Amino acid sequence: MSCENCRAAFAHANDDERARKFDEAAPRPCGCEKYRVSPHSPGPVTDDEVLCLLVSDPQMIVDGWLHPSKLANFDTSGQSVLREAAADNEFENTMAELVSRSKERGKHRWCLGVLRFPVHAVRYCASDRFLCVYDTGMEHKPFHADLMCGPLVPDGATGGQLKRARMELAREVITALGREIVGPSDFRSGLLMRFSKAS
Amino acid sequence: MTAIANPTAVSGVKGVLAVTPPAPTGAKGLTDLSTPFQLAALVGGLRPTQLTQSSAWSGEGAQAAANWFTSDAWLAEMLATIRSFRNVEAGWDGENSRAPAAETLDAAEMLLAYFRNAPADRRPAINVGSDGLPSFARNLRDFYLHLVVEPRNHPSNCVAHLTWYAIKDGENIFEESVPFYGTSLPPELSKLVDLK
Repeated sequence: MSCENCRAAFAHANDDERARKFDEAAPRPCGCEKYRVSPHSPGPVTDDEVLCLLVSDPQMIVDGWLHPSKLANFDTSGQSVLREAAADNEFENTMAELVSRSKERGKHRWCLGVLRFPVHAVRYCASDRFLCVYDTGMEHKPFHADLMCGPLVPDGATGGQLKRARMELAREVITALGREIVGPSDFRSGLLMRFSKAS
Repeated sequence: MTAIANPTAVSGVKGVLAVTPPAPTGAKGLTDLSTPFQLAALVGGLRPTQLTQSSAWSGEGAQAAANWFTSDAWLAEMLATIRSFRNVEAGWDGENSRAPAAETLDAAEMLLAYFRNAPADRRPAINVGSDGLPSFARNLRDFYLHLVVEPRNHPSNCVAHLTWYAIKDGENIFEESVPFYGTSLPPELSKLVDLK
């Protein structure tokens, strides 16, 4: 049954295979979107929601847009985002984790802002499907979601064909995400200011 | 061409650019120019006048080098970015990222020496992806570039391989695993960033 298959895909141990598992779990593209895939999530992500991508490095932005190096995981582990309905502490905890884990590994980073974008902007391209948006909530982050896609090239494609497909997709996603980056001082009355470089 | 005194082998680019001078005392502290960057600059990345100005190879050039270096905000920022990824461990992005390899960061620094001579609106910005590969990007109305620096295949005498996707003048361009030898930019990349 698709619902159980989708939950099994969410629980799959190998992060890099999760997008493929989701794709295989349902008979049509992004079929798992209609189910609540995580037991911690409040429910499937709807088209009228807004998603938030935490921007935690100045290098993540080029010419006002996301740097494409940030967008290479849609067909593997997926791109983490938070749903705008997330509580303040979910945003704070997520940013605190990113900053502290990075610091432990030798990389200093800080909050540059939050990139906001509507779900429908990444789910559809004209009337076609684009990215899949799954409700991959966790115990302490129930409003966590992932942007994923199915295989970009057929089995047997060359490495070069896969690289090209990923680079072309990154370019399309960058445009779809837009450039509405809310600075830490403006996001929820300065909620993330303590993670900004100025603090 | 500036003379090279007391050449010594360079780890990581041995066989490509087999020699490099030891950095003059204090030069790195003044300019923050790393060995890979200096190598590429020396071999051909900088125009003669710039090389003279930035002559980190001569003692009297040290101060001039500092002025030249700090006056280029783009270059200073890109070198600092690369430096911030030196010695980071896997998981540096707070998630499941791979650690970048020193040789690809070295190659990225060499590329900077060439990109520096490109028009300002063609100079790309560097970042490192969760796959640990450095990549350069630019995203303007008339120019999009995403260039990834990949490790060289062994055995090979190149510094790295470059794969890029670009949109220029409405044309989609893709090149895969183009060898980068450190002595010049691949001609098609040079043309792409409008290097004269």
